[in-house]
Amino acid sequence: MTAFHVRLIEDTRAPVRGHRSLPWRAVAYLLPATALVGAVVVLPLVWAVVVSFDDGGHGYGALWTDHGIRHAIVNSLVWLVLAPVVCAFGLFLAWQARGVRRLGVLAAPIAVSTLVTAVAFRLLFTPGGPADALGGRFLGSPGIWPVLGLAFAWQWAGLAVVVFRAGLGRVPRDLTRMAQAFGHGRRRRWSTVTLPALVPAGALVLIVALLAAARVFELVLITAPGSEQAEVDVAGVHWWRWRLDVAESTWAALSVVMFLCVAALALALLWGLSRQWPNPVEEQEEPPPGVRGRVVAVLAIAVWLVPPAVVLLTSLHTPEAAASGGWWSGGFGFGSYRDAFASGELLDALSNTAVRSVGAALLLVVIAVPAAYALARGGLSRRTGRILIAVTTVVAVVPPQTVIVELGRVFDDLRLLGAPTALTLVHTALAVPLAVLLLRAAFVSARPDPDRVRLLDPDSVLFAVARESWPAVLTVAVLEFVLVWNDFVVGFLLGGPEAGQVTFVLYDQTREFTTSSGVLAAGAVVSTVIPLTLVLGTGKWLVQGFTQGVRR
Amino acid sequence: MRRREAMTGLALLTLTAACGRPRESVRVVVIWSGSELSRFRSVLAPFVRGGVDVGVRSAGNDLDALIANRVARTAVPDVALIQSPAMVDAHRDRLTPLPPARGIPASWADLLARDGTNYGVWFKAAHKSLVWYRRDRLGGDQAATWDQWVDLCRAMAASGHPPLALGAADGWVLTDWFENALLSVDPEVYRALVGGAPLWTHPRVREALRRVGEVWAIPGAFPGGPRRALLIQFDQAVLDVFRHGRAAMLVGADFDHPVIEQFGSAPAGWFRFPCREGEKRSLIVGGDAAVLLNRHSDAGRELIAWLATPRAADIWARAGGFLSVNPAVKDYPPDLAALADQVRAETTTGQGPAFDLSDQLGGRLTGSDGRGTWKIFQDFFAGVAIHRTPLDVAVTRTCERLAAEQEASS
Repeated sequence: MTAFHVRLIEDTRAPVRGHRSLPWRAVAYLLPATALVGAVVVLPLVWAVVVSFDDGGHGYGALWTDHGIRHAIVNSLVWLVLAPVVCAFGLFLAWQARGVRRLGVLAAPIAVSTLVTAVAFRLLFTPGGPADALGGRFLGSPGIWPVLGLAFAWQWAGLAVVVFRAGLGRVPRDLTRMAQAFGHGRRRRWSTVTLPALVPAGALVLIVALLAAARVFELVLITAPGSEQAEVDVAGVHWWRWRLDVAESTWAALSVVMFLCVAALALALLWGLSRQWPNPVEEQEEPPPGVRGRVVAVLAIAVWLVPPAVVLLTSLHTPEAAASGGWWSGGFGFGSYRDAFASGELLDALSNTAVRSVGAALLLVVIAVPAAYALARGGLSRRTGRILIAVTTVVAVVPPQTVIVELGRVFDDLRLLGAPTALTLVHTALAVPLAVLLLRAAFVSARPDPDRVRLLDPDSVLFAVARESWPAVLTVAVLEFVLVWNDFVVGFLLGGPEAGQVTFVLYDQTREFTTSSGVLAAGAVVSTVIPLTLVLGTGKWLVQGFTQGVRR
Repeated sequence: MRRREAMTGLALLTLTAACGRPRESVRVVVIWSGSELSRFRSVLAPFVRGGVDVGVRSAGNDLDALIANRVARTAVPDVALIQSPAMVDAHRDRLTPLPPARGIPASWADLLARDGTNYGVWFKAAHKSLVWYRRDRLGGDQAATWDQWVDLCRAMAASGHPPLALGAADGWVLTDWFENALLSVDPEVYRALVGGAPLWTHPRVREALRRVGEVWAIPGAFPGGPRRALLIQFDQAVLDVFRHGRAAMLVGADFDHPVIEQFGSAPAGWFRFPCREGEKRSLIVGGDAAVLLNRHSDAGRELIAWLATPRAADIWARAGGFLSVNPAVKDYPPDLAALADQVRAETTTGQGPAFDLSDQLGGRLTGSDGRGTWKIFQDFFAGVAIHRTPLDVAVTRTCERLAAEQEASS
């Protein structure tokens, strides 16, 4: 019986000493990303800090004395806390169902816009809706909170499941066995072997979830009925509703405070990202799943399918049947789809959104790949690298609502706003930091064929590394496409009508929710098909891309 | 090589994105959505065929916030359909003077004029003092006065048949109730409040609140109870009455009509929102006026001119849920023609139309989901109907809150 074995592995990483590439190259690689993020994200943030002290810091006092703002801040903090909870739930599911294949479908909701998610959960829990029969008035207080929480969990827990599942598969079994041999208990093995192996990918998922929590806007706007809007208010929505009634310095202070909260949480996670696993772990044979694992997996998938099923079935009813009977009764027909396309607006919006999404995805890759390469192998000193990564992490989680006010003012003066190009740039800039983090993790562990690289010029190392890490590059592009496609809040606040975002067309229908539910559901299905197909089609590589950095 | 390709692609992309506005175009923002939005689109269709692209966007209940977009003034649309004359005051510096439309009664036109300058053109009017009922359940003559109506509601509720459907998730549904009551109780106080007088704790305001609170507090008044009423919107309330038969009546407006037509399955009738003997029947009107936000937009001017024509109005009037104050518009469904007459008649006499009060309140009282009068009246409703707060206590609390918010805005 062999408990562990030893292998020789050649270290093909870029040499650290002696051949360190010239720093100017790294600087040049970092420049486009820095300029874009600096202009779109950092400058407005700095300006917000300046404005917040306009009246001697009274703005900060008002955050506490204005009950509405205080309530919204507390709610926003609840959302931020929910992000790690959802990730932990994902880890729990992944652990229970370890060994089970085909769990990837759980992550599919990341391709669904928050707006469509909100529509699905409102349809599900509306009075007279399917879940209403279970008892209680869900959309009222306090039932609205679990509904919002479930909607968020539905969207993000699946991603955590998939990433953690991949991580669990890579936990070095040799080490586990060794720990076992030394008589360590289950808990000790979990904390010394399993958890450290999960941390890098887990931190990335957590940051994604955190960002989603900080972005919460349309989920609240659409899921909660008007009478509950004040109860579930969050900072962004509160600002949108009350901005004319409160001093600008107070809003700036709110932006600063919200940013600090998110940044503090993100920094706390940073140690996870910067940690590197000491030995490469080869693909291992996974133990077959147990009965319990299978049951958990089947149950999870069944639950996950409920919201999309509700939307799909609602859309297949005539508008009249959808408004009155719901998806479980008769009245099938394609009338809702016909109505959804009737004005031609949906079709226009689809093409507008597609152009913008592709543009932003390409631009992001062009800008983020060199920057990530510079951070991973640019020959920067360890200290500089660490500082840059810390800054990138903090910038990655800046909630868009935070910078949009000041950004709008600057763009307004330049008369850039409403221009689709400007919107594309903003989308790209908002995604650059996260993309850099993800790509860096992959680039660090990439092992390009040294013979092919050395003969060519230094730039070719970049391409070789990027080629080697293509799943991560693809992941970044696909995620950005999906993010821009599904965006509501950035376009809503900055874009104006001619942004022609597909989510706007859906939002137009939400004012009279019941009588619009058929058309709304049809629009939701149509708008979801494209990003969903993309994510499902590339799913295998997305998981690889997300977890590539863990290989080392 | 690859990089060069990428850069070329990028440059091309930026170029195509930057220069994409071949046809003349105009951006319009409205509050309508759903079927109302499609109706509006059909009104625009002949204009669009004339060669102008019209981008319509629904701002939902946040139109005010959108027009005042402090984030991005350039993202502000060319034309807006505003639902309140108060918005003329709020955004006057952004509005462009317009020639007054022909055929509109002076009392209506005056609502949009400031210091002799006209800032908007009425497109649509609404009659907000109706009680819709199922003809197969009730006779229209059973509620000639307020007290008879309350007795009827009590009797039905006591017998286990909820009399009223209420879409209280839409705060304006509740404020409309109150406005109707107040206009009957004391038109002078109503007009003074519109003018911004600090009268929210006035005894007549209290009386109006008591009046509506009395009905809302009737046990069994609403199908599924008051908690459900707070979660449903006005369109679902229409369905509750005319499709599901869960209730017999709802307080509403002329624009409930198309919802009843499309989704209802029972014969519908209406009577006016009741008042006490000796009082004058209330008639609360609403309306949507087109204003020009971009003075450089000629297409925007043309669009507003088109919306002011009887031809444009007839397109929507024919489909129902649309009234015009222009007497030349005649194409109403039979049961709505009388409402158009009422809206016009009561304004050509007397002091002019009593425009929806809550739509004219500015500052912190501005109503929208989760804020202003909408939220305050929802809390009042929850107080008397759900938490069973004694009516006097709830009334006092609501009046003080309204007064405090008014105070805080000034």
